[in-house]
Amino acid sequence: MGILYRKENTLKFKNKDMDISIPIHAINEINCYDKVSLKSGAITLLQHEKIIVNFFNKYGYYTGSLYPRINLNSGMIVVKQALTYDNNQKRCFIAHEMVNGMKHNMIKTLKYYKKKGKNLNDYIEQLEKEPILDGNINKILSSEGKLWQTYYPSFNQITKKFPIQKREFRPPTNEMNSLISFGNSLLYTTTLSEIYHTYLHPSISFLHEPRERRFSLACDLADIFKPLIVSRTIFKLVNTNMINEKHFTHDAGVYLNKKGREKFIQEYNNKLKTTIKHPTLNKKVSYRYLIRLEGYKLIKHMLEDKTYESFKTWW
Amino acid sequence: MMKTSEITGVMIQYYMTCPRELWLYLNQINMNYDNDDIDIGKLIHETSYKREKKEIRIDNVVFDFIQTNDKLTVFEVKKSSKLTIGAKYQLYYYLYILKKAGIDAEGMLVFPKERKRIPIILTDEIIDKIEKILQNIKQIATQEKPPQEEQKPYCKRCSYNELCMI
Repeated sequence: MGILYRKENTLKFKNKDMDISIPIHAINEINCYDKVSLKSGAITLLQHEKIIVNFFNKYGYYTGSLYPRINLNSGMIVVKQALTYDNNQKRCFIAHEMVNGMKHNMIKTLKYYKKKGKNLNDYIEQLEKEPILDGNINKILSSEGKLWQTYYPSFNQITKKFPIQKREFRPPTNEMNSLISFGNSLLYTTTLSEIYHTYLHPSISFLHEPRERRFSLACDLADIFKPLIVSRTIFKLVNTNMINEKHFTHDAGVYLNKKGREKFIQEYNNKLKTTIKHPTLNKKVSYRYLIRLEGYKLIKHMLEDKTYESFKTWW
Repeated sequence: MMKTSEITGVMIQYYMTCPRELWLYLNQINMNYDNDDIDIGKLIHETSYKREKKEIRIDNVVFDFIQTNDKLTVFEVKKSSKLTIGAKYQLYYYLYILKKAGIDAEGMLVFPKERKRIPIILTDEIIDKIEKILQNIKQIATQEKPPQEEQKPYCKRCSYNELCMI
């Protein structure tokens, strides 16, 4: 609980315990998990500095964003994005490639834990032989669904605690589902911020339907990165006991409490800051930045500059 | 089709350094939002030559500042003398425009940070080149696709670098 306000050109956050400055050039976005009031001065400053503010309800569900005025505006790219969506073949090409990347990243994640001695052979094999159907979007989506169905139960081999039978959300019925939901919503907002810094329109998506009441392109791109960013964060938190039973509340569903969310966000942010040497850029990039690069690749694809290849962990 | 009067100095500069950059620029794709060099360049423009009359606009081109002694001199302020080919032609283009209007002028590239200046003189040979460049720019403007990227030594300082290399 607190108030975001502006003092000269500094963004400040005040509540009953503290009154701190937020270095506006050092942040990517602001996520509010509790009641936060924004003074008009703060809103002006945030809009000017192009910082998105995301709001979550008391269960940690994303409720909406204060989205700054569109900064990067290219009508041509939006038109091309819409035309790509509207052409079944073009849409399926991108959607299929996204699922392909997702599958690769799932397998890579499991192989990483296999090397650490976890018994994951069956899951890896099953994922590997799971075909990604093509031709229309429903086939691609059903393949995507099957991949997640195979992938999530493998968590039982990796974590000692919090078993999961199947993915359940709204509400999550157990701890693991709640961790996944929370992580996914975090990744969704990170992805949205990165899309904001490209010319892409966040509502025109390929794998998901743009008809959903969300910025569905963020859902598309987030999916590719879930195994690398969300799953790995969860495994670390659970296996090192950073998150345990006392970090959950049992309400209508199972949810992380305040302390649990703090731990999760901290570890999640560490994950985003992790860097990796990029083979074609020839420099180190953060996991967060990989998401923006994914946006650039879509732009290049739509400009017919370079065919889209989804992000696949190369290390 | 783009008109010659729509061609700006910056387009000439981009054309000389990288036609792909020109295409992206012509299609409103600008990536300069977090390139520090651009902010530094802006700052140099604002803070140097304060006593001069600045930003003289003629049609679609803007001269950084001018001086008139016995002859008109057009000045172009740059951050660094490292990549002068584009800047040179930008200035040649300004002189070309003035010449078309019947004004004989000279150019001067200035690098306040380096305390260095390069005089620019328009010759018939350069006029031919400028006319060819103008044609090529119009042609690039009609292209559906961006020109293929090419690795150049200065790519790594360019704000389009990641868009090109990914």
